Amino acid sequence: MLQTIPRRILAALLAGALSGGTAAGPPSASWTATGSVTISQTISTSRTLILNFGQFKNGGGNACTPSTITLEPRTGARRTTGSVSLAGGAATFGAYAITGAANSVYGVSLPEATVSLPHALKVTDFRFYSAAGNSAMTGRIGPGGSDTPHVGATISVPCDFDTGNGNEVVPSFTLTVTYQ
Amino acid sequence: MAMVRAIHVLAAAVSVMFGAAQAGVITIAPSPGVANTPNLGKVVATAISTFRVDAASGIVTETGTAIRIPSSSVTTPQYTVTCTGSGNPCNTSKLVTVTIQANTTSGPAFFAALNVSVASGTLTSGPTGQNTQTVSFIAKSAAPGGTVAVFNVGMDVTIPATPIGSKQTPAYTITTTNN
Repeated sequence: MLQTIPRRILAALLAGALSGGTAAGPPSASWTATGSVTISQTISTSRTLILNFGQFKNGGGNACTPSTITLEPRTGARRTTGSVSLAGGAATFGAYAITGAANSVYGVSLPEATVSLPHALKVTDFRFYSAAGNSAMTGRIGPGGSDTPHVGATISVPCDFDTGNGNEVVPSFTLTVTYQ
Repeated sequence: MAMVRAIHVLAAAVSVMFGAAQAGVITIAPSPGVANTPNLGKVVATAISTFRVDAASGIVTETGTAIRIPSSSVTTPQYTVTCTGSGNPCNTSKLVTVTIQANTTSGPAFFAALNVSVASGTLTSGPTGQNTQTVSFIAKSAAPGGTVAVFNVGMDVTIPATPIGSKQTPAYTITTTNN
């Protein structure tokens, strides 16, 4: 009996020792990582109002000086330099509808210069206005996924010029918008 | 009395055996202070495109028509492999194999490939592979609780044509095996 018990204990303890030795550390460990990426709507733009300088004239003679009309992008108001005088018409800033990812900031680029129709007057100093924008050349798409910015510019008016009863518009220029 | 003495002796012997046989425990965890999940932010894709995040630099390059907003570098996830345990478990040569596997290789956004940059550790092989990366280290000199290896993970994130505005959460799993 005395000899039997130690053998059993020995066997049990050895089994435990071997078992514990191989199981002391897990053979592997793992970690799972989940990344994230949000696939957003493409940004797009469409024009809703044509940039329109309205009607104006610049008389001739000694009193005439080369003039400009600047159309403010925020309000659409016109202000002049030189001898040009404003007439009626349907002057307005250019307006755009931009759609894209909600709450995204976008940048814009505008041409250095173009010409108006129908008289091919030089148009420069394009300016951009977004009510939600951060700066003069950026806008912000609202929570609903859209923004409605405006574009203004300056038109040069030579002497002896009169739009007559027609509006002087800028129907064609490229407004490029990109996410920032 | 003889039996009691025998049991004491055996118990002491087994105690020594336990200590000698106890292996180090290899663990892996994100390095402190380093983001453990890659976040590409917002992307716009009109066709299948891929963003490659370089593990070492975090620079993101784009192929295809997609753009990413913003386009700046990201902080790549960094992991630390550690050997822990009582006594001195890692003073013997121990091979640690790390396998990083993309959980899926299809769907609205997935890791088409993975890349690894090893910051520290004694390499024995790798990194090799594409959407499964394997790299092996030697943990021989790691002190108890010491660092076996530190590495960063980069990835190719493929964006197929997907419904707009959707947030996707591709995943990968890192497994360490000590041999």
